[in-house]
Amino acid sequence: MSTRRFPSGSEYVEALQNPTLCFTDAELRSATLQVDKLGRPKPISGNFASVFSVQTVSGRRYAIKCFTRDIPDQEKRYRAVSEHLNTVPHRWKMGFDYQPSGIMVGGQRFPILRMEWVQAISLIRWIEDHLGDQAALLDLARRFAELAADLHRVGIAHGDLQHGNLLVAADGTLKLVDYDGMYVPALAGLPATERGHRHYQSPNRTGAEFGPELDRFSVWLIYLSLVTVALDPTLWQVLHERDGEHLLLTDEDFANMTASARVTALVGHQAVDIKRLATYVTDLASQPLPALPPLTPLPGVGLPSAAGAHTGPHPVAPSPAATSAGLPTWMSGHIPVPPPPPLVTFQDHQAALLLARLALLGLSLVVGLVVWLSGLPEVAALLGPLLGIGITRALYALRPEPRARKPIASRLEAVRRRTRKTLRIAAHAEKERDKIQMDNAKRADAHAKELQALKDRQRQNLGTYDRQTAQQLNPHDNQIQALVSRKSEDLRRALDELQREKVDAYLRRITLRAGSISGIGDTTVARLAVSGISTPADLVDFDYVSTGYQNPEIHLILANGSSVRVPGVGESRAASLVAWRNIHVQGALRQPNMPNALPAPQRNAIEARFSAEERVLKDRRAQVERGRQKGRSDLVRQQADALRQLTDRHSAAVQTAAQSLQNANQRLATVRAEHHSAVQEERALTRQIAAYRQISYGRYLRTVLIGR
Amino acid sequence: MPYTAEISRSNPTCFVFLVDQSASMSDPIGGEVPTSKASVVSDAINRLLTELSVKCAKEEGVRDYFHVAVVGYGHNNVGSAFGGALAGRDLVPLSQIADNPARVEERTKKIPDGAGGLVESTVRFPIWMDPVCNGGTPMRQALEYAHRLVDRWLGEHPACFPPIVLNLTDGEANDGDPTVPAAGICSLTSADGAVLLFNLHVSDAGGSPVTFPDTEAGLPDNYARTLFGMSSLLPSHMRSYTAQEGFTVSDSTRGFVYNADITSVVQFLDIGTRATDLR
Ligand SMILES: Nc1ncnc2c1ncn2[C@@H]1O[C@H](COP(=O)(O)OP(=O)(O)O)[C@@H](O)[C@H]1O
Repeated sequence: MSTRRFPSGSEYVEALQNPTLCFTDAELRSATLQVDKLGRPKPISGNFASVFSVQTVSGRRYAIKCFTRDIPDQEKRYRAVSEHLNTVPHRWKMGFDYQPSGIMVGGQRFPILRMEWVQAISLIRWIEDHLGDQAALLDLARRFAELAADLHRVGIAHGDLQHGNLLVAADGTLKLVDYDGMYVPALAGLPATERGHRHYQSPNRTGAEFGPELDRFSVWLIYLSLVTVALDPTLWQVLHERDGEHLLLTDEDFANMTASARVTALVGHQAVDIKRLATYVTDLASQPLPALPPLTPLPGVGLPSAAGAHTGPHPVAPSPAATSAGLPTWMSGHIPVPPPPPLVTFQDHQAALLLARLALLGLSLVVGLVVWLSGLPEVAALLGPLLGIGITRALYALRPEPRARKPIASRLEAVRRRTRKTLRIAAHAEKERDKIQMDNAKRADAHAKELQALKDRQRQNLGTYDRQTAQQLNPHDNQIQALVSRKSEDLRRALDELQREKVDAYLRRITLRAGSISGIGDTTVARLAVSGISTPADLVDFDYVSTGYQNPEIHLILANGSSVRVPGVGESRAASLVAWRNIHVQGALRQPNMPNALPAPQRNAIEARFSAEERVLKDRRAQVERGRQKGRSDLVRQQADALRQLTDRHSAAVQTAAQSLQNANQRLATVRAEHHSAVQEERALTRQIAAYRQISYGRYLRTVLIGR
Repeated sequence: MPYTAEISRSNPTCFVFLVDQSASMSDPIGGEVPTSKASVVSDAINRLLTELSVKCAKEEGVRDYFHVAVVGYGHNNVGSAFGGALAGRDLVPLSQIADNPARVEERTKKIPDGAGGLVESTVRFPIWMDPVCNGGTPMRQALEYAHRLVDRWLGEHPACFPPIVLNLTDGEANDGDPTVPAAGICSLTSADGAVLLFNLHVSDAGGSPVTFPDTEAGLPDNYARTLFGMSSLLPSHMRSYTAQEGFTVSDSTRGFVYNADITSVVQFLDIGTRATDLR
C-alpha cells in the first residue's frame, strides 16, 4: 500500500506561481511558465499528473510533469526506462530527465519529470484534420506499425498506448509520450502502475500483468482504426462518438465483440482489408494477453510510394488529362513541335504565265478596239480592266497552288466550327458534373446529420432503459447493503466482545498519575479519582452538555455509561484524557495474546444467521435483472437494425450518386477528348494553310503584270 | 458494475454543491487563527472548483467533463451562490466556470524556502463565492432543490456517472428533518448507479477531524451523526483511493468528513487512464 500523499493538481498550480522558490534545478528556477486566462500556470492534466510548459531564459521549452499520485519505485522505473531507451535510436522518442526532488510544495519536496517539449497534436485531432486524405492516413498507419515494431524489437511495452499519448508532429512523424507505465526488461518482476486507457485494452488485461505483451491488443486496435478510417472515412462518422475518448471502438465493444453493432459494421465491411483486420482483432479480444502476436502490418498498405495504389475503393475523380481544354497544363512545353511545312510559292510555269500575259494584252486590245470603233463613251474602256480581272481570276483558279489550298481552307473552316461546338458542350457537361458533385456533398452532409441524430437518439434511449433498470435494482441493492452492514457490525461487535475483557484487564493495570498526561497534575488526578477515574478502563469518551449559557459543560462518560462533570476538566483536558485512553487501547490491541479475528465457528454462526436472508434478497435482485436484461438485448438488436438500415440506405444512395457522377465525368471526358482532337486538327490545318500564305490572287496578278 | 461509467465530454456528469449560508455559519471554529465556518466553507468551494478545473484542463483548455452548480441556502431561501458573471446560474459547464471566477485574488502567503525558513510570496487565487451568513438553515429545501437539478440532469444524461451532491454545513437544519429529502436524492439513479450524497460537516463542537468514517461511534454530536447517516456509502474504487491516502476503510465507509479537507473527492473521479489497484 502506498501512503505518501502527493499534492493535487491545484496545489502544483499554486506552487508553480513562484518557480524561483519551488524548483530545485537552477535552469528551471529562472524559467517562465506558460499561463492560462487567469494568469496562473496552465496545466495539461492526465489522471495521475499535470504537465506544465516552461521556457528557460535561453529560450528552451520544457514540459514539466508533476505527479498527483505516489508511484512505487518511480525513480528506479524511470532510470531503467531511460537507460533502455538510450539504446534505441528512434524518432518517436521523447527526451526526459527524472528529478527525484525537483519541486517543493508546502514545504515538502516531490519528484518532477523534465521533458523535452513535444510540439505536436494528439491523434484524434490529427485524424479529424486528415479525414479523406487516404495517403496521409495510410502513411500514419505505416509509421505506427514501425513504432510498434521498434518497441517489440527491444522488448518495451508502453503500457498506455492511446490517442492522448500518441502525438503527431507537423512533419507527420509520430511521437510517443508518457512513459510512467512503461515496461522495459530491467523492470521484470515489478507490478504494473496503471491499467491503461479503458477504450484501448483487451478485456483480458487485469492490471496485474507487467511485461512486453502489455500493448499487444492496443497496437492491433490502433492499427485497425487507422487503416479503417483511411480506407473508409465515413466510418469515422458512424463509429466515433463526437468528442469521445476513443477511436472507432470502445470497451463495451471489446467486452462483447459478437454482440457489438460497431464490430459488426467492421467485420461485415466490403473492403477486404478492413474485414480481415477487424475479424482478426475480434478474435484477439478473446485471447489471453500473453498469447497475442505482435503487430504484422498488412502488406502493401501505406507503403510510402504506392500509397493507396491498390487498396480499397477509390473516389471517382476526373483524370488530370481532362481538366482543361487542349493540352493538360503539365504537358505543355513537353510535346515536341514538328517543323513547319515548306512554304508554297507559285511554280514558275513560264508557258502559263505567257498565256496569261497574252490573254491580258489581247483582251486590252480587243476592248480598246471595240470601244474606239463603236463610239461608245470612253468610260466603257473601264470594262477592259474588269474583264482582265475576270480572266486573270479564272486563270488564277486554274493554277495548281490555289487549287491545293482550297480544300485545306474549307476543312479548316469546318474544324473551327467543331472546336467551338465541342467547347460549348464541354462547358455544359462540366456544369452538370459540378452540380452533381455539389449535390453529393450536400447529401453527405445531410447523411452525417441524420446519422448523428439517430445515434444521439439511440444513446438516449438505451441510457434511459439502463437508468430504469438501475432505478429498479436500487432498492434491492440498498437492502443487500444494509444486510451486509448489519452483518459486519455484528462481526465487529463479537470481536470487540472477545477483545474487551483482555483490553479491560490491560487497561486496569495502568494507573493515571500526575504527569502521565501533560497538563494534568495531582489535583486533577485526585478529582478524577473521586469520580471513579483512575485507569484508562474507567473512561470511554466525553460529551458536551448544553447548559443554556454560552459554553456547554464537558461531561466525561464512564465505562458503565453514566457521565460525570469533573471540576477543572474542560474541553482540552477531556480530549487529552480520551486520547490517552485511546493510545492505551491501541497498545492493548497490539498485545500478542490479543485475538484479532473471530474464531471460525463463531464467525460461521453469525454469517449463517444472515445467509438465508441474503440469498433471498440476491435471488430477488437477480430475477429483476434477468427480466431487464432480456428487454435490453431486444432494444440493442432493434437499434443495431435501425442503424444498419440507415447506413444501408445511405450507402445505396452514395452508390447511385457515385454512378451518376462517374457517368457525368465520362461524358465530360468524351466531349473533352473530341474537343481536344478538334483543336489538334485545327492546329495542324492552320500550320498547313500557313504554308500557302504566298498564294493569293494579288500576288498572282503582280507576277503577271510586273513579273515579280 | 455500478460507478464505472466513463466521464467524458460525450458523457459528462454533474456536481451539485450545497452551501450552508445561515447565521450560525458566522461562528468561529478553532485553530491557530480562528475563522468563521462560513469562510471555511467558501474556501472549500473555491478550492474544489479550482481542483476540478485543473483536473479537466487539456491542451486546448478546460473540458466539459462536468457541469457544476453551487447552491447556497440561508436567509430562508435557496439559490445559486455563484458571484460575478455566473451569478444566478444553476448547472454551468466546467469550462465556463474555469474562465469566469468572480475575481482573482492576490494572496500573500508565507511559504517554506527549502532551507528551513519562510519567505513571503504572492499567489493568484480564483474566487467564485464569498462567505455569506444570515437567516435560518433551510437544508431540507436545499436538498429538494438539488433533487430537482439532479433529476432534470439525469433525464438528459441517463447513462452518466452518477452525479455527486456535496453538502457543506454545520448541520443545524431548521426546516425539518433533512434525512427524508436526503434519502430522496439517494434514490435517484443513472444507468450507472445511485446518486452520491456526501457531507462536509464544519463544526465548532471540537473533537478530532474525521475523514470518511465507517461508523458513527467517535462523532462528537447528533448533528454529525445525522449527517453521517444521510451520506452515501463510498463506491469501491473511491474506497481504495481513500485507503491509498492512508485512511482505514471498510464496506461501511461513508462519504462524510468532519472538520477535514474534502477536496480529495475530486481525486475520486477517474478521467482517462485508470490506475491499478495499488492496495
Ligand atoms: N513532453 C511533452 N510535450 C508536450 N505535451 C506533453 C508532453 N508530455 C505530456 N504532454 C501532454 O500532457 C498530457 C498529459 O500527460 P501524460 O503524461 O499523458 O499524463 P498522465 O500520465 O497523467 O496521463 C498528454 O496527453 C499530452 O497532451
